[in-house]
Amino acid sequence: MGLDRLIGFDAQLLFESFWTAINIFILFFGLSYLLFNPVRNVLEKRRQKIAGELAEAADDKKSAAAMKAEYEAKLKEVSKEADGILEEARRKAKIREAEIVEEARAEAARIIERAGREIELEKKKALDDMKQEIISIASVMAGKVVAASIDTTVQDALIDETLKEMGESTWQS
Amino acid sequence: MGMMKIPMIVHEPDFMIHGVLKMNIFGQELWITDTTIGSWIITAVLLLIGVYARGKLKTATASDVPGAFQSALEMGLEALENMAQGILGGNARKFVNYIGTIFLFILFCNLSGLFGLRAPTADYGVTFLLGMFTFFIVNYQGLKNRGFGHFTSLFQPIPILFPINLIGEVANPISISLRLFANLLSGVIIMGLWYGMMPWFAKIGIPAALHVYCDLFSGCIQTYVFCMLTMVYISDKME
Amino acid sequence: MNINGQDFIYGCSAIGAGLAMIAGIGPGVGQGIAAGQGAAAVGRNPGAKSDITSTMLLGQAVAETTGLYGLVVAIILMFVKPFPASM
Repeated sequence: MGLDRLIGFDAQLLFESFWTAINIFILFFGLSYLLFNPVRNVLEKRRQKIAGELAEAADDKKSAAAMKAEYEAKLKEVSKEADGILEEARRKAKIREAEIVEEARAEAARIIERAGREIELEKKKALDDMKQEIISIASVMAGKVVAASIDTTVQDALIDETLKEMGESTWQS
Repeated sequence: MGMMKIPMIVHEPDFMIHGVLKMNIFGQELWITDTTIGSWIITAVLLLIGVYARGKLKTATASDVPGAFQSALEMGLEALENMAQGILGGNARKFVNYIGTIFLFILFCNLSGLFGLRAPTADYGVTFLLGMFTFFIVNYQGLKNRGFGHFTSLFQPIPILFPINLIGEVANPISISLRLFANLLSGVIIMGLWYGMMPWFAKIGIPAALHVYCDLFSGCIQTYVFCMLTMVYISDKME
Repeated sequence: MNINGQDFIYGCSAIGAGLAMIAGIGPGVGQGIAAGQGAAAVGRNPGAKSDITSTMLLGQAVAETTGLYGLVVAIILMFVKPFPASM
């Protein structure tokens, strides 16, 4: 006859409690060693890794911001410098331009003056040539008149014609 | 004691604890019962899971992508720690291992009814011990944190309430152990009655619904309740 | 039909066990009230459904205790047989 029961308050109850106590002790130390602490270690490791990565990322961000600020400052300086250089160049160019224009104007004035003088000289020369020509033509005509000895009306007509051809102003000076 | 004839109980349905091996210790006739063997099996299964988990986790580094098993373990531990944190606050770390141990033990015991074992928690010897562990831990924490005030607090707020306070303290372990035991026992009795007394065609399909309620639902809820109440009792003694 | 003292005690124990299970009324009413309040709470605040459900189940499991005490008393009367005939 075995044991058949549902509940009883006797030594058998304590005997079962005793085995349960042994089970719970074994499970407590066994599972703490085998399950809970390793899982907690893994979680802790991951937490530390993520925290480290976050700190690293924050550091990177900070240094990147510092570098950016530095570069921006540098860029501002460079552009200021470039502005200065351009300004200087522009100023110099303006001065140079004024100089060139002034020079050109002087040169042009000189050229014009020289040209005027040359024109004057040429005019004088042409007038002299013309006078020589007129004189030679007149003398030729005088020779012709003398040779032909024709009447004075013809002679007058010839002279008038010649004079008209040459124009009045050419010979009068 | 005269032999009783109660045919409904003795012959047909079987929801009793059976003795397997008889021992004589200190002049007492003691039995290794099937619930004891069931609890050994559950201990062995849990330890095997632990060995497997340790083998898996030993090679795990922080940068590995965790597999399904490791993820389940991590989620379970996180849930447990959150539960303990919600009740015990900053003191949770000291108790997570114990709470986790009894949680897994009670859960596996309650679910073992699904695998043909007689649930060990439907034996008052098992739940009585769990209740007593809770009682010892609670009172140890009370003595450690409050010293002699642990005893004088029984006379608060007026000394005449001492008997009521004492009964309230002593009733805690009895109430949580009886709650767990009676819930599981009622499940075992209902299942035993159904399997023992119903005609054969009622044993197809219908017991599945009963198993879902009596073993799965009730078992999980009672596991949760036992751990919650243990932590609540501990946190009462913390301040 | 002969009924000796032992049989009489067992019969009375069985009646007592049945009476002890009247304790099942209380938890039934209490759990019903808890479930109804839980349903009302979910209706008012559907976002907190999981919190309400877990709190309700915890409360119901604690409220079930008195009924389970009745069950334990009934089982002790039926199976532990605490009243021997020689008393």
